[in-house]
Formats: sequence, C-alpha cells, structure tokens
Amino acid sequence: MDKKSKYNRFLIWSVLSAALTFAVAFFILGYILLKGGGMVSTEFLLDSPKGFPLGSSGGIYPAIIGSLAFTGVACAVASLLAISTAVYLKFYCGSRRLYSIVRLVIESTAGMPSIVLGLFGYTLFVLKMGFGVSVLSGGLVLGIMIFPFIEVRVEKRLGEIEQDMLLSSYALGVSRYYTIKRLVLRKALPDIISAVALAGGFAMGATAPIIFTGAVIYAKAPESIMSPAMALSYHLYVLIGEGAPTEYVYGTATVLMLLILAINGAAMLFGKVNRGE
Amino acid sequence: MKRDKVFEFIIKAFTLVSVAILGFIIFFIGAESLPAFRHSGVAGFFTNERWHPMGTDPVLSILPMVFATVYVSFLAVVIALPIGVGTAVFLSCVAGEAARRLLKPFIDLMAGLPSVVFGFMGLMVVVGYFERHFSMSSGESALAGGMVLAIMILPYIISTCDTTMVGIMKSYKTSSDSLGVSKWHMVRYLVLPAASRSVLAGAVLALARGMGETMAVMMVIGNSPIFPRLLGKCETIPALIALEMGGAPVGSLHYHALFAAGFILIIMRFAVSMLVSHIKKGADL
Amino acid sequence: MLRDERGIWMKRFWSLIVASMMILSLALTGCSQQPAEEASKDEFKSQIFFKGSSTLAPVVSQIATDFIDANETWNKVSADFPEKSIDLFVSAGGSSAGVKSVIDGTSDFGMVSREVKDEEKEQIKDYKEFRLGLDVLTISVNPENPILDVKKNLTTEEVMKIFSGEYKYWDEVAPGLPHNEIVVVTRDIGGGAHQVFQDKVMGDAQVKAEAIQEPSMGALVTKIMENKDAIGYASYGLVNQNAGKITPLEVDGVAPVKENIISGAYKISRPLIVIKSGELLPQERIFVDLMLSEEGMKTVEKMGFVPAK
Repeated sequence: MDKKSKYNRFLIWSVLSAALTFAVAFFILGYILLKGGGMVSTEFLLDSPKGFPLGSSGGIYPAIIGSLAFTGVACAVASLLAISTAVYLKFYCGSRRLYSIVRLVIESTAGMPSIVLGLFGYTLFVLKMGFGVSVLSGGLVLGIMIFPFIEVRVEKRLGEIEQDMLLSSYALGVSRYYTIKRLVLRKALPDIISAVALAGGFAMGATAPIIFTGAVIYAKAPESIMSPAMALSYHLYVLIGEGAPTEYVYGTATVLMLLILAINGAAMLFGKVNRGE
Repeated sequence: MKRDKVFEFIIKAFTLVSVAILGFIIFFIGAESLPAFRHSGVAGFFTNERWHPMGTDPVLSILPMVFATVYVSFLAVVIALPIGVGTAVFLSCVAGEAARRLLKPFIDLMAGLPSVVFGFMGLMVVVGYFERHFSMSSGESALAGGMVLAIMILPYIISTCDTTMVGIMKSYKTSSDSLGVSKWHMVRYLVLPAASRSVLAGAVLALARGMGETMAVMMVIGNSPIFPRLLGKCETIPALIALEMGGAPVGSLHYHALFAAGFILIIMRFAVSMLVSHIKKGADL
Repeated sequence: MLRDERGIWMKRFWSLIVASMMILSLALTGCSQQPAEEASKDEFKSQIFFKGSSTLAPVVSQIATDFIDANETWNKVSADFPEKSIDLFVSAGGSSAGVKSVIDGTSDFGMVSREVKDEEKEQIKDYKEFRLGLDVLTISVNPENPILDVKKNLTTEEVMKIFSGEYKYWDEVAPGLPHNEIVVVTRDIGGGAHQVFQDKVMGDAQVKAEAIQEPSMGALVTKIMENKDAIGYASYGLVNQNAGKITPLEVDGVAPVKENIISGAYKISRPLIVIKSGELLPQERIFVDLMLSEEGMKTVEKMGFVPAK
C-alpha cells in the first residue's frame, strides 16, 4: 500500500505540473489572441500608425514589413556564417585546441545579453562602418544574436550523419567537398532549414538589439536595407511605454505572435530540431 | 580538385569572420569597461556604497545588481524546476504517443514567444494580482520577476529533460518490462536518477538564460538599485543597462560603468556555462 | 595530409588569423563615416532622421505623418525638389542618445527634453537649437488617493521629503491619511526627465533607492493610474491625455495649468528642443519651419505640451 501511494503522489505531481504548464501556456496564448484578435483586420494589417499618441489608431503595416526585413537579413547572414562554421568544426578542424577556442567564443556570445549586443552593434555597424540606423545594422546584430543558436543545432545535426556513409564516400575517393555538398548537406537540409526558421522566430521577437541599431518609432515600410524601419517587437514595447489603448497593444502582440507561430510551425514541419539545447 | 580547395577556403574564411566578430565583441565590451574599473578599482566596483554614476562625485557599486541578477534567476529556476521536470516526466513517461505529439509543440511555441509579451502579461497579470491580493504597496518585486522568468525558462527545462528522458525510456523500457518492473518504479528509480545530470545541466542552463533576460524582467521588478528581497524591488544587470543606456552621455563615466556591468554579466554567464559543460561531461548527452 | 604537412598548414592558418584580425581592426578604424557622407553630396537627401527623447518622439512623428500624408513626395512640397518619397524617421532612445547621435552624425536631428549641457554643446559642430515648447512635470497621484480630500497642494520641501523617503508613509504627509507606504515612481535616474526633477525640486537630496524606476513616461503614468498609493512626476501632456485617471497636485500653491506654465510661475518644466549640427538643407528647413509654424504648434499643444509660441 505504501509503495502505491508513493507512486500515486508521483503520478499526481507529474500530471499536475503538466496541467499547470499547459494551463499557463494556453492562458497566455489565449488571452492575447482573445484581446487582440479583434483588432486584426485588413486595415490594421495594411495601414500605417496614426493617432495621438502614435499608434493609437491606424495600423502596423510598416512594422510587419520591418520585422520581416530585420529577420530576413539576420537569417541570411547568420545561416551563412553558422553553417560554414559548423561544417568547418565538424569536417575541417584538425586541432583540438582550435576547436575549443572556437567553441569557447561561440559559447560566450550565446550568453551575451541582447542589449549588450545592441550596444556593440551600434558602435560597430551604425557608427564605425557607417551603415547608420538601418535594417542592415539591425539585421546584422540580430544575426550575431542567433548565430550560436543555429551553429549549435547544425553542428549537432551534422554529427548525426552516419559515419559509415561518410567513410564509404571517402573510401571511394570522393572529395570532402563533394561529400559535404551532395551527401551531408542534402541529408541535413530539412533540419538546417528548421533551425534557421526557429532562429528567425527568435530574432523576430527580440527587442533590445534593434533599439539602437535599426528600429524606429515611426517610418514607412523600408524600401532598402540601408533605411531604418519599424519592427513589431519594438513597436509593441513603444506602445506599452506610451500607454496606448490596450486593444492596439494586444493587437500588435497578436500579429507578432501569429507570425512567430507561423514561422515556428513551418520550422517544425521541416525537421525534428529540438528547442531545448 | 580546384573546387575542393576553393570550398575549403570559403568555409574557413567564413568561420574566421564569425570567430573574429564574436571575439571582437568580447574585446570591445572589455575595452569600454576599463574607464569604469579604473575609476572605482575592480574591488571597489563591488564594494562601494551605492550605484550613483551621475553628478560631481560618482559612486559605483554593482553589487546589488549582481545579487539581484542571480537572485531573480535562481528564484525562477526554483519555481520552474519542479514543474518543468514534472511536465517532462508526464510527456515522456505518462502521455501516450499521440498526446505527446500534440502537446509538445505547444511547449516549443511558448519558447518562441517574444519577451516583451511576457513582460506585458507579467505587468498586467502578476503585478496587478500582487497589489490587489497581497496588499503590497506595489506589485513590482523580485518575486514577480522570478515568476515571469520562470514561465519563460519553463520550455527550456522541459525540452532538455524530455529529450533525455525519452532516450532513457527507450533504452531501459524493454529490459525493465521483461523483468516485470512496474512503470513507476522504473521512472522513480531508473529514469530520474539517470536523467538527474541532464536535469541539473538543464537547470543551470536555464539559470544562465534567465540572467541575460532583459525586457520582461525590467517591466516587473521595479528597477530599484537595492539589495533584492523576495517582495522587494530590485534591479538586474540587463535591466540596469536597458534602463540607463538612453540617458548616459557617451564617453561619460556612466556610459563606461554600464559597459562594465555588461562585462561582469558576461563573465557571470561564462562561469555558469563552464559549470554546465562540467556537468554535461559526466552525463550521457 | 601527412603529419609534417599539417604542421605547416597550422602555422599558415594561425598567421592567417593574426593577419585578418589586424586587417579587421584597420578596416574598422579607417572605415569611420565615409560611406554615410559621400552618399549624397550631389544627390538630394530625401531622408530626415530624428533621434532622441521618447517624450518628444510622438510629437515629431505626428507632425511627420501629417506632412507625409499631405505630400507623399518631395516635389509636391516644392517644385525645386525631385520626385522622391519623403522618408522621415523618428527613433526614441532617450535625450542623451539624441545628443549622442547628433555628435556621432548618425542622425540629422536630435530630440532633447532637457537643456543641452555645455560639454555636449562643445562637441557639436555648428550647434543649432529649435525650441518646440515646454513639457511640464506635474506631481501627480491617483484620483482615489485620500490626500486629495485633505490637501491639494504640496510645498517643494514636502515633495522633496516624499521622494527622498524622509516621509515613508502617507500619514506623515498629513494626519488622517492611511498608514500606507508611499509608492514613489520616477523615470530612470540618469535620464533627462529625472535630471529636471532633480534640479528643480530635489536639490542636493537624492531620491530614495526604493523608488520604482519606470523606463518611460507612459509606464510611469500607467503605474500611478493603477496604484492608489503612487506618486510621481507625470508629464503634463500625458496627464491631459488621461484626464480623470490621474490627478496633478499644486506645488507651492501653483497649479500646473497653462497660464502658470507660460508665466513661469510653475517651475518644474523642461524644454522640448530639436538640435542639429551644421547648416540646414532646404528640405530640412521646410520641415523645421513646419514644426515651428502654427500648424506644428497646434500639434504640440494637442499632444499636451505647452507650445513655444
């Protein structure tokens, strides 16, 4: 009897925790959708912000395009660099010491608070390199932020490629380049895309890095990557700070959330890449 | 043959660029912090009386913020760990395949939500609740921060633990079943202990993640630069930087002091990372 | 590769790293602001970028939006200008960030909601200043705060004592009030708004460390609106926008109303300034004139500030 009650307690613990977790998750998702869903109309999605204070009426179109632009640049840059680094570490890196150094650097960056990256981005991209406050600067900073995220996952996936396949390829005299390009990357592609997409969702939600490097309170939808742009995450923060009417805040949050959910959903469809690592 | 070399070169070049940029960041932040350390002395930066970088006689002490950063994250982990592990057990050992496949995505979705959203909800729901039901003069508190942060790191803990547990379940299930061991016995005495290293690693990782969180925490902890108490207001380092950066004149002591704070945060997180890899080395990840 | 070959490759690789780091640092220092400047010496600059105070940002954004809605492209503003779309950008980040961006050249105009310090002016080449108006910091409380039944006025000294923590509970301010802790709400201590408050009210005293620091005026106002025991220096503009949900007190017998602000009787105010380094381009001149015109001033007033004219 005693054992049974112990197990029962156990069972109760796990079920309760799960119930609590999902309750909270559904509550947050539901609450925002409920309060903001009503706002999502074609006007809201396609119009520019208006009103006193700015954002209390009109729409968020420039912010939607801006967010997509920032995320696009970030993903393009980060995936190029991260995939290369992962390939290097897995296939070309000979020395253990070099490997540790690179890993170390990546680890430290992964840990950096986003606001600090933003400051770095301002000094390097906006000032020193003269890109000014722009989608490019903001996108680059976001790219740095998501770089470790992508690199770790791609490297892990590359590591899961069956050794025998690789060995047979080399044994047959196939060059490393060809092996990687045609076999490895092709096999890992869905998971790589998935990782990049997840990273994109992460980047889209980030506020701090773009405050000084790319995001503005008001702008038209960006026409080039050298111009500044609005971003949904920053717009949300600004609205909250200005005390704008809550429907607009929830509406913006809803659109942002739906966009991220869509990206994450697509990512999950592509691959089995896990979030937790 | 030629293509081979070109490819290899490109790969190496990109890696180099990546590492160079990342390394440069650390160097840059360190460099910008120096004036602050020179002003207060490295030890002094921690032991002066208060944080007051403005005015004619600036005093810099980062200690309350360091404590607050660790305190709030620690609180978050303490709250999130039992719930997270419990949920992971549920997902890996209790729920059927179908249920698991249905529910797990929601966890990942939650992890993808932007921090401003959590901060906003924290402000509306948690802080308001504290004020109404706990008769606190103001709901902003370390506890509010801890709770909001806990919700944010929950998906990470669940994911890490769940992955490990599923793996363990797979490897032990057949032998365990054939020996007639009950499911719960297996979970309690096999899965959990085997996963404990991973759980610990996940917890520490979540701690690190929590220490870097800026927006959500800043919106609910009150940002008072004093020592953290459970129901008192405090200020974590990321919140400090986010709050004061807009107002600090460039090149001023204040500016450098904020970088110094950031640098300290990087070192703190680094220490935690080292701890994680140390733990992981012992685990079968 | 053979063992000894690998050694040579490693050496070469390391030298490659060192070389690239040197090149990288050279590039960074040398690169400075050339791309931005050479961009449009002859080209028409259709972009105007404002950065700075989050208080002033909504005002400038509003004027900008109206301007763009009315005109769309520069040639509609004046026949001399080419048909390029009007790109006006407004970014917050704080008054100091605004000054910094003018110094750095990363913005065309800075929006500042405090006086620009002399040390800052020194760093700006050819400093130009345009006053849009005044923002007043009211000392406001929640409409349900019982102090409103007892006294509607506080002396500067009383305000100072409340904010410094010398008065900790409401019943110390006036007898008969509940023994509730005073919730002091301020902006970030290093920011422009707080500096004004520090100068005009606190003097040498410090605001108590347990005060809540809100990242924006809107958040500060929201806090007071939601908490019965809160008191803070809410911006006049936002108070007006939320009339009924937040109540300003008189200070030294002077109420924060328009006549008193203009006459200077109400002291806790800060200027709303737009600054620039260098000469105004004709298109910038037009926009600045617009901001200072009757239309612009109306917008300033509508947003709750006191226009300069």
